[in-house]
Amino acid sequence: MITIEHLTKRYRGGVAALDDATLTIGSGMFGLVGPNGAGKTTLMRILAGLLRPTSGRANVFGHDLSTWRGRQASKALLGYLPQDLGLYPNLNAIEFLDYMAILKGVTSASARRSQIDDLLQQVRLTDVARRPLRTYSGGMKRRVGIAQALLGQPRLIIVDEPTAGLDPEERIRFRNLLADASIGRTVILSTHIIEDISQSCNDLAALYRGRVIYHGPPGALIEAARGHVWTVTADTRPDDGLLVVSTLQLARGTQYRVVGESCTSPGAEPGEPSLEDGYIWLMAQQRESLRSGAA
Amino acid sequence: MTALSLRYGVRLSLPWLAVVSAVAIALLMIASPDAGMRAPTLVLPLAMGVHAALLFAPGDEPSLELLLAAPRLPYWILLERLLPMLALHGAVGLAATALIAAKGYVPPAELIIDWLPSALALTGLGLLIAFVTRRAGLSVLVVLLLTGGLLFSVDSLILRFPHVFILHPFLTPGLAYALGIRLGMDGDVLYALNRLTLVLLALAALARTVFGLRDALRVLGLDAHPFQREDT
Amino acid sequence: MVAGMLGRIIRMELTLGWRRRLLPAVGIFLVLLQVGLMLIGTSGRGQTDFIMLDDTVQPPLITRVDLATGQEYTEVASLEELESIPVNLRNMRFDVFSATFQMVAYVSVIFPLVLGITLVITLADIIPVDRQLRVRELLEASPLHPGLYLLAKWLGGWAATLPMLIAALTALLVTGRLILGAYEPGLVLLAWAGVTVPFALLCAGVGVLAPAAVATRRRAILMGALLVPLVLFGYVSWSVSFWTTLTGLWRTDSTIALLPLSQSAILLTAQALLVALQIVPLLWLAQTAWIRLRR
Repeated sequence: MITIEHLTKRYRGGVAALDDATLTIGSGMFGLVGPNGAGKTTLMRILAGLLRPTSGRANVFGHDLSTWRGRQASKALLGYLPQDLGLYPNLNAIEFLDYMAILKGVTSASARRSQIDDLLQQVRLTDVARRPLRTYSGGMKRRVGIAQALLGQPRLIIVDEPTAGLDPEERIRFRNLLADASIGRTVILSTHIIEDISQSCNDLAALYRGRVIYHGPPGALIEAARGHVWTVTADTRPDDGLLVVSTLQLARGTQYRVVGESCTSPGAEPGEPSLEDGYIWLMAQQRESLRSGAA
Repeated sequence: MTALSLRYGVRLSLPWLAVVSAVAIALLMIASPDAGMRAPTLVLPLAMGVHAALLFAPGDEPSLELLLAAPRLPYWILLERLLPMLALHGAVGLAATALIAAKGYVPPAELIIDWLPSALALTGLGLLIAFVTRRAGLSVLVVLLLTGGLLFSVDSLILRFPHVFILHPFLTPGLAYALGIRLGMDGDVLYALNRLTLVLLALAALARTVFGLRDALRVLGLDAHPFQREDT
Repeated sequence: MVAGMLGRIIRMELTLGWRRRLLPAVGIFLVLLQVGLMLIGTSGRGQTDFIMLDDTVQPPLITRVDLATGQEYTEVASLEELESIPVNLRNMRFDVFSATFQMVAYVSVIFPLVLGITLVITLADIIPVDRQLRVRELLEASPLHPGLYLLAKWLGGWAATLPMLIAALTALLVTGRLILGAYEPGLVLLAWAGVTVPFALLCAGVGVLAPAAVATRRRAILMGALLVPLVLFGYVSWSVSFWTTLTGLWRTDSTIALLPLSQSAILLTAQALLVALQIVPLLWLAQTAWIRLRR
């Protein structure tokens, strides 16, 4: 169990990347969504033991992350895939994973070998395992990244934007890999790709300007958008404060999928909300409440 | 977690730079038998300082976040790169010492005391500057300029400010003796103080770097002083 | 259009160089080092009481300074004094000449040695860092000619160092005036313009272009460090002409006045530098060809 209570993180200059965030994360896949600058990466780094919170508490399987001991202890249970994954260009995949396994405390050479072989098979890199990492494509590098995150049988896996830049097949493969890894573990997945969340997460949280504005199952977020999603076929872009989620050029005109409080456009048909619609609606409400609060 | 991986430490620490030291020492010994007697002292501090500067600069480290997120304490990263570097350059220095001592000019212990403390001091300096500035380039530059400048001018500086002897990286027993007369002290004591100070400076620089590694925020450059800021 | 593109890239390189904070840091370090070297270099130097011998009047007059009080006084020169002072040291203030000579030596000999090391190391990673930051791909996808890119990097790197060269020169001029006394600024500036600035151009060229094909910053800096002895060796070779002209001829009974002699020494060194500068276009051609071959 991971608990976060009134967590705040301020950087130099008073920038509050996290502001009084409170969450409880159980086992399984947990999604973390939010716009750029919402605090997702900061939260992930705190949970990964890289950053110390300014105030509040974060607890990972009983280890208090506000103490150095707690952070070190939680790192022993952690698999981490950062957003900007750097790899040593002159090492090959086996060597890189071997090195990472040593850093994670897998001291037995045979245990390391066995884990690495297994993981390379899972991420389908066995054939290219002896090539230097600098020759790998972006997707292959990401697979090395997830493999190193799975080393040492971690209880908590944190992945930050793991599928960015991957083709659809790679993304699906990744999702499946993470879903398999989440059995008996906690996997926190931070992503902009809502589809990844909808296909694999049983719980999610949305951040906005450092605050948690939603925590619950994806289904509830979808339901919150019911009655606020329409499809409109028109020659011009619908207005009236509606947000256009998608645009499709058809023979009879342009079909817009819109989200908003209400829709008075002629011919508007209510749509079945998706998780993406739910996210858009949530963010729209948040901005509106900030605007009305400021006014 | 105390798993030290010397194998990867060697791979990631540019071990072939020790060959460059060896070649430079050999060339100096061939080109000038007089200067060659102090070849390890003239080459190793510079070579080791530059090498140390290239060992670990947070801004240039590809997998920095992964290294810091690992349960192994981060100072092991430094040690597993520093130890092979010291061993290799040390081997070069000892070999050169043995060659020079074999010619019967100077006892080997004296030769080692001549180059080792200054080499360690510049190693510490290179390591520390690269860590604090997060850039290997600036550290290499400072080590090069400082060593070059001191090689040519520190004796003149000592004449004007004798008490600076304690930081003189290339102090010789002869100069220490002359200074001793000027300062009214035993030259051997001055020399010993100088050598000891250099070693202590090296240890202090290493300690500062190791201690600095505990602050992941700074190491990652997320709360960086303007001079440590990343390029992006 | 090409000139416009070149100008814009050079301007961008200037901005980048200063925003990286490396160049101001290096500039401050250079200023301190130069001032320090000058303080050390002038320490312990013996002072002479001789100021000037005027043999245009009868009887010839010698001006000296009382070292204790600093008061100058003039008296009739004895035959021994007349014979001991060479013709080319007469009818000019020796203290001004001495100070000018030292300043010219600092600007033309000592500072370029420091500059050579500084520029080659500081600029070595300018092109590899583009690759590391993945900006290189964007540049290669643009219509920018690779030769133009390299040229702009070289000139931009050199331009970015000009403010710190000027700061170091200012520090030198001020420190020289305070420590050495009055000197001929024109000659010092001629040395600056004729020797230091072109040498900076040469070092910037070697520093930027030689490691251009290197994959990582660390290797580029290493290459820069290994190039330093070559650059210094080259500099020492052609600066020998400066010294032989200045000091060798001075020891003869030449009636050439020393200030014009210094001028010709500076111009000779500048000529040698201009010849050496041809290395840079060769490097530029080689790297341009290499980039085109790899595409």
